[in-house]
Amino acid sequence: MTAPASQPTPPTRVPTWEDVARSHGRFIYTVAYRLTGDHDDAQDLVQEVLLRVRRGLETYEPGSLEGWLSRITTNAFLDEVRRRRRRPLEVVPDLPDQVLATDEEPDAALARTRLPEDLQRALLALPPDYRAAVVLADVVGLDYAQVAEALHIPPGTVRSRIHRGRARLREVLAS
Amino acid sequence: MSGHLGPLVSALADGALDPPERAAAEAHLATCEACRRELRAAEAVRAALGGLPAVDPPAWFLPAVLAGGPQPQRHRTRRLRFGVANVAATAAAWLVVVAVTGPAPAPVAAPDLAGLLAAHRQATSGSLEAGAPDGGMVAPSRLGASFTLAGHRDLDGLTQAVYRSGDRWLSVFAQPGQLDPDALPDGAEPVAVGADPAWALDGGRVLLVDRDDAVLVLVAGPEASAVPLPPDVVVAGPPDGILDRLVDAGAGLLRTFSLGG
Repeated sequence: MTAPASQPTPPTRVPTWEDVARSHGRFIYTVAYRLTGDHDDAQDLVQEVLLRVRRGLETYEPGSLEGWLSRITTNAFLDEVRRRRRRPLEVVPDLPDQVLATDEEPDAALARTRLPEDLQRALLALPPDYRAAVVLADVVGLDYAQVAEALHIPPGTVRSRIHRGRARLREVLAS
Repeated sequence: MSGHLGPLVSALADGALDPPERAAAEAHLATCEACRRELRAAEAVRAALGGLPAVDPPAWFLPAVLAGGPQPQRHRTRRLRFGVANVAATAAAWLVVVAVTGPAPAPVAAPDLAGLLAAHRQATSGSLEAGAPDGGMVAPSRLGASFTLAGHRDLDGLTQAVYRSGDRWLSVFAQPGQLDPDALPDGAEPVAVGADPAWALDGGRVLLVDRDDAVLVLVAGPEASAVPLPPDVVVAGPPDGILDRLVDAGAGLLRTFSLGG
């Protein structure tokens, strides 16, 4: 892949898939594993991400390589989820707003279940669209605007998915 | 502001509210213990997820992808994937791993050994080096220190990978299905390869491994490859036979990667 002649090459150069695999392979794998909870699926997903990078179909914005890669990863993940369901995910399963089911301090319930495996299991209990938003915000550390852009959803939807996703996580961890 | 903060709690925790929203939310918080608790909960979840460790892929994974290029997902109910190939540093360590996933397919009797030997012979008889062989062989790519993945192809549901190191050749076939032990060819001898049932055939040139959902067949040897092995490689019989090398390699790798071992 070559950059357009009008652009200076080094700073804005779109990274090759090999660059990405070498420098960010572990990062992509981490995001992929947090989304899928399965090593085989994570490996498939990483390969799909690298393929998309290689094909140059994803708009690259210089300066936010991790944001760019996590966007590609979550979209590849959601595409695969949709494909497996063989129907569009237009209707996102709705999670109710959580209203304070317990008097226990929230930190206490979380502190008991801080094992990565527990958190991973709880992540997998989220509907994929909520999981994608929570992973992008809380695991990758994207801000809400970046999450909205990555998932092609309005800012208000980002807020509710992150909030309800976190509430559901707590519920699962406490159960 | 009416009622509780709802989703605004997380947005507040994340610094994602604009100033007027934030002022209103903080005013509400000052009077609402329930929302203060929600805020602490949102912060706790965020901190817990943010503290999750990075996840390392298996050691072979990225080198294998870099060597062979990212492979498209096969949209099939049965997926056969070459997770990795070899890391053989010496002739005594022929290491080949094939990762197979997917639901267990229907049983197969036994692989068509004559067909596999023919495929191995054809694949290693010269056309690979040209880079554009028949039968769907892909371009050669390097894997590992001394052994090279020369190519792989799909033979109508059967996957073949061919490796070379100098004049030495090795094919690995993976066929979905479960082996019927009663249908094994005469002369098959049980051998130990990790936890998987395995048999040696044809004087040790062929090793058959019965994994959960696929049969793996490793083929090596001059008669099968049409390319002579160097004189220091003994084809049959312990202790120097290729079988032993394959068995050692298979067992070692199965242990290394926790693949049934």
